[in-house]
Amino acid sequence: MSNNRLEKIFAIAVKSLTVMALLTLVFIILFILKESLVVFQETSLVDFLFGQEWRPTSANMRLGLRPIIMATLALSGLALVMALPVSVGAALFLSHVCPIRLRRPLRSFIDLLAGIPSVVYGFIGVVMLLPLLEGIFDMSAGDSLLAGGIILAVMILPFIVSTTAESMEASVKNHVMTSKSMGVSHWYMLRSLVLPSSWTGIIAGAVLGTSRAMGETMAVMMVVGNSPLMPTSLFGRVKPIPSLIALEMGSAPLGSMHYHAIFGAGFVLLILLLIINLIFYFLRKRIEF
Amino acid sequence: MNAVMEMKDWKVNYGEATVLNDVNIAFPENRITALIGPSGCGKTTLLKSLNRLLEEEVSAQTQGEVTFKGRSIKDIHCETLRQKVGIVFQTPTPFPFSVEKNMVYALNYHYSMDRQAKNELISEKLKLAGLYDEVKDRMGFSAANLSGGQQQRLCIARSLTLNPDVLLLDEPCSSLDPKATAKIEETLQRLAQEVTIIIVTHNMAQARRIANHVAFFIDGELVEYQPKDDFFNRPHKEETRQYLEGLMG
Amino acid sequence: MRQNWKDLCIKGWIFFSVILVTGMAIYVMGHIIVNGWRSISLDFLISSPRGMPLGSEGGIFPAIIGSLALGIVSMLLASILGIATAIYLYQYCASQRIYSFIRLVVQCIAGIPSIVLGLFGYTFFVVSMGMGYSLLAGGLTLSIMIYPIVTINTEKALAEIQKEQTLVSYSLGVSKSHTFFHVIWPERKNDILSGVLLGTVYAMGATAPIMLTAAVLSASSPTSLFEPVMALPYHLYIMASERISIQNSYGTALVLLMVLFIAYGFIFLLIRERRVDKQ
Repeated sequence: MSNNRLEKIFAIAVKSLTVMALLTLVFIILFILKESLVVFQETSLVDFLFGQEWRPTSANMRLGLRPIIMATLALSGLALVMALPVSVGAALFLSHVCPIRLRRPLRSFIDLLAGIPSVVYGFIGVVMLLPLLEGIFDMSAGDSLLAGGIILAVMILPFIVSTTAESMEASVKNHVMTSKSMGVSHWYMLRSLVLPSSWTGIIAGAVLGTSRAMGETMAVMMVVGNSPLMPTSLFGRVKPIPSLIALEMGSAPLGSMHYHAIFGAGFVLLILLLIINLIFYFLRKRIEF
Repeated sequence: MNAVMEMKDWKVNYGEATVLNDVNIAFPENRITALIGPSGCGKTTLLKSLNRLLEEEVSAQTQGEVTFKGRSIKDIHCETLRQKVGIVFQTPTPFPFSVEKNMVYALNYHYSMDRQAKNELISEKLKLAGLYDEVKDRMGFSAANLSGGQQQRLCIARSLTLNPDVLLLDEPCSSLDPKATAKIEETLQRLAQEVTIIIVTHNMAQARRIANHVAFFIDGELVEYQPKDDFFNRPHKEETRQYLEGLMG
Repeated sequence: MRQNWKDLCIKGWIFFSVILVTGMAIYVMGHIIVNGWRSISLDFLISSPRGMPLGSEGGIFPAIIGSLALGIVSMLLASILGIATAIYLYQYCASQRIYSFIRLVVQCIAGIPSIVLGLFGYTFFVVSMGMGYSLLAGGLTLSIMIYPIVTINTEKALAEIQKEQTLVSYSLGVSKSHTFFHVIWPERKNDILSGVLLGTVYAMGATAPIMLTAAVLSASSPTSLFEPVMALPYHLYIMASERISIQNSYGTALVLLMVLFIAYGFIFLLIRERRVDKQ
C-alpha cells in the first residue's frame, strides 16, 4: 500500500474515532434526558426535585427526590468536612516537611490508595466500621449517614492530598529560599506563606473530592442503610442517588413510571457532577498559570 | 575603616569539585564592594556562605571561618544572622501577596509591633528603597502587578525591614532595563551610608559606577582585591589586566 | 528561636494528619491481608462457587476469569478510541480552540458517574441493542468509563517526546502515519501501554457499570461475548452485603487487590524500563 493511501486511511481513522468518542458524551446525556422526560407527564419538575417523599412502588406513588438529593449532599458535605483538614495537613507534610528521599514512595503509596476499588472500601466498611460504630454508639445496626460519611472521607483523602500537594509544591518553589534567607522558621513559613498561597489548590482538591464523593456508589451503598429518609440525624439511614439507581433498577419494570423516575434521578446526578467537574477543570487550569 | 565581615581561608566543595578555594577577604563597613569575575566562578556561593544559606544545600562542604563583627557566624543563630545579613536574588521574588503583606512577612515573625509602628517602618523602608512614591496608594494590591524593577526594589525594601547591617545582592539588575537599573544603583548608593553592600555583578560598567572596592575572582580564587580606582587603573595581576581588556569572560 | 503556640499547632496538625492517614491505610490493608490469606488456597482459586447459599463454599475461579475478560474487552475498545484521540490531539489538531474543546469533552466524560454509565449501558446495550446481560455489554460500558484515562495518559506520553523528532520527520517529507509508527510509537510505547494498563486496572475494579450490564452471581467462565459473567468486585459486593460468607469475602477482596497490584507492578516495570533505557 502506498504511503499516501496509508496516510489518508490513518488520518480518517484517527479523526473519525475521535469524533465518535466525543459524540458519546452528547449521546449519553441526550439518552438519559429522553428517558427522564416521561416522568414529567406524571409529576411536575418542581415536585420531582423538591417533593418530600420517594415511594415509587406504593399504590399512592410519590416521586419526590428531595430526601435523595439531600442525602447525596449531606454525605458529600460530611465526607469533605472530615477529609479536608486531614488532607491539607498531609499535603503540607508531603510537599514541605517530608524528607526528600521519602517523598516519592509516600506519593506512590497515596496513589495506590486512590486505586483501591470502591467495593473494597465498602467491604471494609461492613466488616470494620459498622461493628465499631455499633460498639461505640450502642446501635443495633451501624448503617447510617455517619458510616457513609466516614467511608467516603477515607476514599476521597488520597485525591485531595494529591491535588493539594501538587499545587503546594508548584506555587512555592521559588519562595522557599527567599523565606529562609529572612531567618524565619520553617513552621512560620508553612502557615504564613505556603498555606495562604495554596488556596486555589486546596479548593481544587476540595472540588475534586466532592465530585468523587457524590458519584461514589458501592462503598456508600454497603453502609448507609438505604432508606429514602431526610438526613436529619447522623445515625439515621439515608439513600443517595447512586444507591437509588443501583438498588431499584433491578426491580423497576421496563418502561414503567418508576423506571423513568430512576432515569430522572440519574440525570440530576449527571448534571450535578458535570458542573462540579467543569469547575474543577477550570480551577486546575488556573493553577497551572 | 572597620571590616564588618571577614572570610578566613574559606573553602567550599561540592563533592569532588572545589567551588571556593582559600578565600581571604575583609568587607569594609558602609561601603559597596563589588564581586566580579567570569560566570560560574563561585560568586553566588560566596554570598550564600555569608548568610549561612549554603547550609540549606545538602552537598556543600566547607572549611575555614567566616566572621560577622568579629564573631564566627557558626556561633550566631541562623535566624539572628539572617536578620543582620539580608540578601536579594537575581530574579525578583516577591511573595504572591500584596505589597503590604510582603513587607510585614518577616517583621511579624521576628517582632511584635503595633499597627502604627509597623506602618511607619514599612513607609520608611520603602522610601529608602526608592519605591514609596510609586506604591503608597497601592499597598493592598498584589506585588505581581509591579514591574520588574519595582519588584526588585520591593525585595530590597523587604530585606531592609529587619534593619540589616549587611545587604547581599546577586546580580540584582541582570533582568532589568537600563532605566530600572539606574534607579536601583541610585538606591544602593544611598543605602551604603547605613548598610554595607556586597554586590555580585557581571556588568563592569556598573562596578565602575557604584563600587568602592572591587574583588575579582577566577575559578573560586580571589585574584585581586583593591579600591575601585586602583583596581581599574592600576591592576596588579596579569589576569586582572586581561579580564579588564576583555580577553577573558 | 521564636516558636509560639501557633507554630506548635501547625506542627501538631501536620504530623497528626500524616500519622492518621498512613496508619489507617496500613491497618486496613493489613487487616485484609491477614484475614484473606486464610481463605486463599489452590482450591479457592481454581474452582467455582458451591454450597448453599451459593458462594459460601467453593472458589472464585470464574470470577477471576470474568474480571480479566471484562478488562481485556474494555481495554481493547478504550485503547482504540483513546489512542486515536490522543494521536489526533498531538499530531493533527491545529487549532487551540478545538484542542481545548476536545480536552473539555474528555474531562466531562470522565465526570459521568459510574452508576449513570451503568444505567445507560443497561438501557442502551442490554435492552435496546439486544445484547442482554453480557460480556460485551459490560465491556462496552466499561470502555466508556476508562476512555478518558487512556486518552489523557496517552496524550501525556506523546507530549513527552522531543518536539524536534516529529518535526524533523515531517520536514523530511514523511507522512504523519509513518512518523507515528516508526518514530513516535517505538519511543513512547511503554508509556502509552502503561496508560492503557492503568485504565484496564480501573475497569477491573469497577462494580457499578457492570452490575446492570454483565455481572451475575453465578456463571461459568466466559466462552462467548454474549453471555453474562462473574466478576470479582461484584462477587465481593454480593457476598458481603448479603452476608453469605465473610471468610470468602475476605478471600475475594484479597484476590482482587492482588490482581490489581500485579497489574500496577507491570506498569511500574514498564515505566522503569524506559528510564533505564534512557541511561
